[in-house]
Amino acid sequence: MSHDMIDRSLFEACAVLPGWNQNSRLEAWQNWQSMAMPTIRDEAWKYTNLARLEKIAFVRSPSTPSTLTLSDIPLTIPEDRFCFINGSFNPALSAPLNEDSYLLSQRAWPLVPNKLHTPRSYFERLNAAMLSDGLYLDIKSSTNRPIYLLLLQDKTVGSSQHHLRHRIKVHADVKCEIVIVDWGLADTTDLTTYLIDIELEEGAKLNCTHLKKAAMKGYHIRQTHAHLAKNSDFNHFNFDFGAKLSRNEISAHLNGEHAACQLNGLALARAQDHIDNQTQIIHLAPKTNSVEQYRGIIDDKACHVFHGRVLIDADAPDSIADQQNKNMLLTSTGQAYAEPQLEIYNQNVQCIHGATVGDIDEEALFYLRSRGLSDGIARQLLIFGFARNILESIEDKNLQNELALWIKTHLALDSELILELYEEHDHEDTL
Amino acid sequence: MTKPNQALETILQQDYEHGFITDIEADALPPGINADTIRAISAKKNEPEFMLAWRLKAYEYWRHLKEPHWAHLKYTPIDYQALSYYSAPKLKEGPKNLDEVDPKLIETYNKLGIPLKEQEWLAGVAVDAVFDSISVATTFKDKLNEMGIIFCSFSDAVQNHPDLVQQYLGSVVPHTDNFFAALNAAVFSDGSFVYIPPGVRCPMELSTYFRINARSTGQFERTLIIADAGSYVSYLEGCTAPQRDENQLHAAVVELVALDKAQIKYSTVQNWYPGDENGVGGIYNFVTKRGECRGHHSKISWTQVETGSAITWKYPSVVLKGDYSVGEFYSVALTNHHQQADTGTKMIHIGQHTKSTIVAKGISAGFAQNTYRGLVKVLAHADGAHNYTRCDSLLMGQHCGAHTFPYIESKNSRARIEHEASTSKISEDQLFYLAQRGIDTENAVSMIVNGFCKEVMKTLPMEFAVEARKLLGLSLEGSIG
Repeated sequence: MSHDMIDRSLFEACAVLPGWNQNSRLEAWQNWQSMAMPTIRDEAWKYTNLARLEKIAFVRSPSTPSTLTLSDIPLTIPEDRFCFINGSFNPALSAPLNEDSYLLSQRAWPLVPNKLHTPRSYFERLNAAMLSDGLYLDIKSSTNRPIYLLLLQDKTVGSSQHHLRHRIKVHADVKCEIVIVDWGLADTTDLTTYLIDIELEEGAKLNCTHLKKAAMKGYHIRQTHAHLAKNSDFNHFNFDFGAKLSRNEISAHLNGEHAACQLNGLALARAQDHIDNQTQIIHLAPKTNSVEQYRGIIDDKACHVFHGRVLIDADAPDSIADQQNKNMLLTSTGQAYAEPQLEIYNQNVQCIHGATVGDIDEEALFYLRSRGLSDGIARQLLIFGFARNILESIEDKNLQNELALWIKTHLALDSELILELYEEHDHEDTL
Repeated sequence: MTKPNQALETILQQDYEHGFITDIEADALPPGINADTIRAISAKKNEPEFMLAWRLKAYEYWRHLKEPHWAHLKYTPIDYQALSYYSAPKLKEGPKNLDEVDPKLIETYNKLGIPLKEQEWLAGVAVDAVFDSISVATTFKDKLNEMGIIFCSFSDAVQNHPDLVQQYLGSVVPHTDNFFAALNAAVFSDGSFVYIPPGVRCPMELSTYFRINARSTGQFERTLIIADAGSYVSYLEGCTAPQRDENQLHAAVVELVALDKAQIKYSTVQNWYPGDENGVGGIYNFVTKRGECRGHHSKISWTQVETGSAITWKYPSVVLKGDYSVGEFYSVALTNHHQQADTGTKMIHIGQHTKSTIVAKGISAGFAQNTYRGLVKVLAHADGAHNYTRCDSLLMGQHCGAHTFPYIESKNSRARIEHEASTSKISEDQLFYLAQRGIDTENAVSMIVNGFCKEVMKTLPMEFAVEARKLLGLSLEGSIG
């Protein structure tokens, strides 16, 4: 057991922040201390080795305020936004518009009633003990414009750590869209843990897109737990552009009848990235519906792990679940691991799942080449097409276009040419 | 749906057909396991030094292991010191032909519907019958001898072909493989041994009927099949066991070795006592089965129909070492009442252009839990490897469960892996349609289930297909809810 990576003095240092529920933090700290770091012998960490974390002694997040300005953020600046830099809320860069819709209670989340998720796992406990800030989004009325959460990491000294916890509550029959952007602006070896609790009341709808472009050398662990009431609808899109270690644990509990969720994800792993997507969909009520589509594009020496668990409880008859995982493994130095799992305790269900791992389809490549495209362009087209499938399920067209651009840049694709070819194709389709 | 339900309930409640105990005096060791037990087993079997050394090494290793509990199974803990590790029917003299075999034994086989004599000249199948832990009768030996095929009990092989045994024993499933394999290596009593010389095509299906008898006796079989270059063999394994109230442990090991261009087809029908409808009794079946395609263009094919046992823990695997080698796994696993099965396969692609196919059908009824667990692993040098996996589950009843846990690991971009699975129940539309055609629910369910399993059943040899269909009919129907 090694807990050297976080020294007790760091925990003590956190304690001086105002507004904390010190007892629950101390309890979490003690629980974390008593727990061994997961190893590859633990089923949930079979393909993700944390051993290298042990060698790093993490320091505190820098206390000096960041000098970042809006122009330093390399994306279209959204109007409604909450900005956190290095684990602290930054009011200067934030612009929450409608105060009635959101209640910001930073540094006071432990006081929020009905805490949804008790920290159990290693990183959840660490997060609960060490968290430095968080946001409570209480959405009472529908919005047309997406709300952005910008979680930025700026330059730090040494390997620092950031722990944030957010709560999002969507009231009954409210429809809204949230975009969370994790962005490592400097290439640091920081450890970041985020825990996001989401609660959807009856008939609520939330489209949540999460883009993660963490620092290449960073360690990034994120947990998202959603609880869905009757007739609610949760659509989660997870775009991960890779990091030294990027782990996304996402769970959706379908607690009420007719609750529906969609978990989609795209992992773009290259260089020595390690992306580990762990999803869980728990059907607990009748007539619940889930669709899951995760894809991975793996290049160089990168690795993508997909573990998807769909559980249908005995009390969830007439439920439908569809889970798909597809991996494009572009090199023989890369690795793909897939574990699509179904656990079914009721006979009145329709469940399917599928998983594939393979290179670019030779026949598709041949077809495109026979149409006069060069090998390189044909490959680019097929790779982008593979990714586009996930993009298309995003309702917000502006966001879709922006993401398409990100993906093209990240994969170093000739974006104009591809656009041209796709437009031609779309045009043909309409004819 | 109430009416047909009742009719089917009755069928479901049927007693285990093969439940009876043959009263034969058994030569057994007292319960418990220690190094002396191992020495006693080895001495009783008059084994050469290397065997004892191997067993002791395995025991020493096993002593420090903990029983694994990762499978989706729940059962009362096994007390390894309460089991007796050796039980051989007492024989007046070694029988030279079937007439000399204890008539009670023959009667047992007759009750099971496996008359040795009939099989000998009617079906043309050679039977190496394992009654409890020792081989009693071996047929067709001479005929096989002419072709240079060795088909005998493991004990005989140790005595007569120690070089082959020493060369291959534990080379596929080493004693360090897992908890149950280590236990088996230490205490295994007997089993079958097959060697097919180069270029020989075994003219008949080789078959062993296992039968667990004497009370509180763990059955530890060990089977070793070696197919030398260019040879072919089809091996059948079938099991039935008497009705018992206490759980019996069965931890067998099967090792298959296929050299260049050799083919092994291994078929199993497993119908051990599954426990009663309240989940009392039944066999605990923890089996390690693995084949190694060592040579190029070799092929190993597993087919299994699992209907028995209270607990099934079984993953017949193929290690595809040779280039262009092929591995296949076809399985029907059926669980009813309180049965639990955690079964599947492992396909390890090492050689280039290796190919594997997995077709698994799980049927779960009553309060049963049926799990498919499979691993497809492609190593970095396995260019052109291809795997296709299809697993389907059929649920019958409100309280049963069907689970799918595939593991896919690929380190090669030139490999293609495809996995698909579905879970559903027998639709009322299908039943209604068949009822319209004058087919009662019982037969309708049987038809649908047989259709569901057809892909697997057609890979079974003729002799087994009939029995397997009968078994499915018996243990499945009536679980429609």
